[in-house]
Amino acid sequence: MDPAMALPNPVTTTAAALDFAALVREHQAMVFSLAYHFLGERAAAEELAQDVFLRLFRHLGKLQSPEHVVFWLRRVTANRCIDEARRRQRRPEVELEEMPEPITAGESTDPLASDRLRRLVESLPEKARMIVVLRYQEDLDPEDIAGMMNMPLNTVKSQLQRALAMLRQKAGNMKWEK
Amino acid sequence: MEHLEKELRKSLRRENPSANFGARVAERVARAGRRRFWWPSILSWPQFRWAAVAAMCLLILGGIIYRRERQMRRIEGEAAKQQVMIALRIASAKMKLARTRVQGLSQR
Repeated sequence: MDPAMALPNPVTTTAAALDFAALVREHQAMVFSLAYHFLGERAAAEELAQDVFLRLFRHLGKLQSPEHVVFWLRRVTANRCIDEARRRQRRPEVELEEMPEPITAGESTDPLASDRLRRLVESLPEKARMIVVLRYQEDLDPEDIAGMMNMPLNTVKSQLQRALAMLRQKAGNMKWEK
Repeated sequence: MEHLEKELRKSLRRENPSANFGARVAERVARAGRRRFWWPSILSWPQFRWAAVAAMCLLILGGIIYRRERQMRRIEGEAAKQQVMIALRIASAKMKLARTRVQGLSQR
């Protein structure tokens, strides 16, 4: 068992603090990026990621392996992101007119293209957005996503297909298919 | 894999938070720890232990006294009830006697 996972009282020992700091360093990019790609705001994403790590600290004793930590972090981050989006009661519907100049398929390294695509992802409904982020940021299979989000596999697959269709439609004037 | 999916992988690749992210998490954990975990330290104070023992003794003593007091009151109440019943029985007998005499006088 990972020593960081078996802490009797995480607050009192320095070793626990060091182990926890290592966990934060290891997983901060994953947690922050999930929140950032979902919410679209760096400050809000950092705040949310801090909340998630605070929860991790309180649950350390219950997590049994490094894989369990990763699974737990992804699940909690996904749920917190969806809750936060619902709490804000706003879904950034990005109009094509508000976006930078369209690009062609060959210009895949263009930062504007990435930015535009991220904003299109942000315009998706909450669950579909999280499915897309988990699929393409974390490279998770629909089975893993279904387990993580407590959803039927077919729902995840259909939501993913629908989200891709919506993205294709919104980026209609771009040639995504090669 | 279609081009859109490739672009999504590029656009949604992991990014690092700001440089002081770890420090801010540590600060929040410490702040939450202070707020959340102040009471277990009180439990380890010897004064607290003695106070807890004394409070427990007082509670038990108080319970015993209260129970005895209640028992006494119940016994006293029972005795008073018995006396009232006797008094009522005597009064009833006297009333009965008086009524018999009054009836005898009225018949004459």
